[in-house]
Amino acid sequence: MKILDAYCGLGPWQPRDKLLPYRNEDILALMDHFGIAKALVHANMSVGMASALEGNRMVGASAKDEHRFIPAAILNLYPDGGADDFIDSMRRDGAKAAWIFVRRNGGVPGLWNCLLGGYLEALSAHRVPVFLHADDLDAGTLDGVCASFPTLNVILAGAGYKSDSWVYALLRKHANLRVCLGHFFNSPRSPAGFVRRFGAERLVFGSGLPRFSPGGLIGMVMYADIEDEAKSAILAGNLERLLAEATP
Amino acid sequence: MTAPLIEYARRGRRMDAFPVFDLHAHVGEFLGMPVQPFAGHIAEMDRLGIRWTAVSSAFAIAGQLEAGNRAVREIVRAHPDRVFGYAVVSANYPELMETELETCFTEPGVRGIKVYQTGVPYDDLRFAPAWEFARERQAVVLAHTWGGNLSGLDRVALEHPQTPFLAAHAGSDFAYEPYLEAARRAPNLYLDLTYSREHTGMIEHLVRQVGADRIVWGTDYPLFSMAHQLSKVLFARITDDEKMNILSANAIRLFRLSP
Repeated sequence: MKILDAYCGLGPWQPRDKLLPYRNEDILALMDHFGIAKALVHANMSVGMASALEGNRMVGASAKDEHRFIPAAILNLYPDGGADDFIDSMRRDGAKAAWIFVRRNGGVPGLWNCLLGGYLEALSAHRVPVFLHADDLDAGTLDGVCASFPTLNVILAGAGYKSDSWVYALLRKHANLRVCLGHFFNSPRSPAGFVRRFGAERLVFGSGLPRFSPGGLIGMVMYADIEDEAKSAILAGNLERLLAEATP
Repeated sequence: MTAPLIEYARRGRRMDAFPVFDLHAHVGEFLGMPVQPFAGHIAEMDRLGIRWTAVSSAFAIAGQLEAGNRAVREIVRAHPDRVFGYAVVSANYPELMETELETCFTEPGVRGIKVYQTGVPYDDLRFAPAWEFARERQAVVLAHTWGGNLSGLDRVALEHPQTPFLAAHAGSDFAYEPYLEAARRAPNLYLDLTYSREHTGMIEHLVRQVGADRIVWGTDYPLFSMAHQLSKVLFARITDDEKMNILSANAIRLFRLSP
């Protein structure tokens, strides 16, 4: 079964544990081991400390050399241009999706509207899927983003095994919200219980490489008591469809 | 073994290579998650090919020691060929410790003691009756630990070398060095991989450092997906013999079963 990883970082970062790989060739070797065909990649260093623009350029260059990498751009919340500049930079780097680590990239979740409003409007217009991480926002912020931009494809990453109550409530409310399995959305009812409630099309496989290993999540999908078609959608099809719509 | 173990996880194939033993699971409600009848727990084990489980009560861990342990005894009695039990004791309720242990261990399937980090270090004197009981009954001790904080479990393991102590959630928060140091010092301290996340390279590193015969496995079900916990070992970049030790042989030895 084809696997496309929505959540994979490239390159060095700080602080990094000595066990964790960061070179492109090491990430590719891991992808081989786990049977991952392609990965949507972002720059590890830009999740927090370093310039997003530099990281996005680095990831764009890596993808030019390696067809298994699909670039995702990180939005830097320090002012380095407006929405049009960001979309231009995505085009330049070949990026097909955007990550916004609201807190770690210098933002304040409660001010999401004035910080992000213009960007989200542009990303929505260009059908660019936007990944938001649970560590960087609260449920109220996510609720506000989804409600204000109903045509924006929002993917929540970093939800954990204890998150079902509030994540399910937001999924019921917002048709434009999807969830990335992202390294520990592994409650006993996931993914079969999730699929029963919301359909397979709203769940996207993402591993959290290189910090987190994909094996448990891949096995969780493969062992799930759901149709093969649903497994295929979760592991690759859903993200492929979202990326195909994106026209930055 | 007929196929490389990784293929089981890649294909979602039921484990039939050897009898898998989940030595860290629970019964009862956690975090307000809905409780399912225990038949659902057994059904999930059957679906994945897990032969045995050892459970402790979530209710008991939350403080309802007598009622929680009673529920575990009833489940163990109802499933004598599939389920083993842990008696939960707490140093915050020392007056119940010996009675609970004696009562629980009248049930032959109760073979372990479960302790949790509740503000009293494991090497506090209030835990001493539990460690003495474990020595007398050759019981396994499963101790909650987190993020490299073993709460004195390493010292207790050194003081009671005949008793196997399992450090639950070894490597959680990627703090694996304190666990390795403890396991190197105390040969009767085992590292339990049960953990919601899966850090790249950590299982491999633990195996390299202390050997697969010192590493045990559990699911924490019904908190986490059984399939997730199983698959992270099946996918690990270690040998199939090492995977078998972790998923089966070590627990069989510790619980004194015939394979």
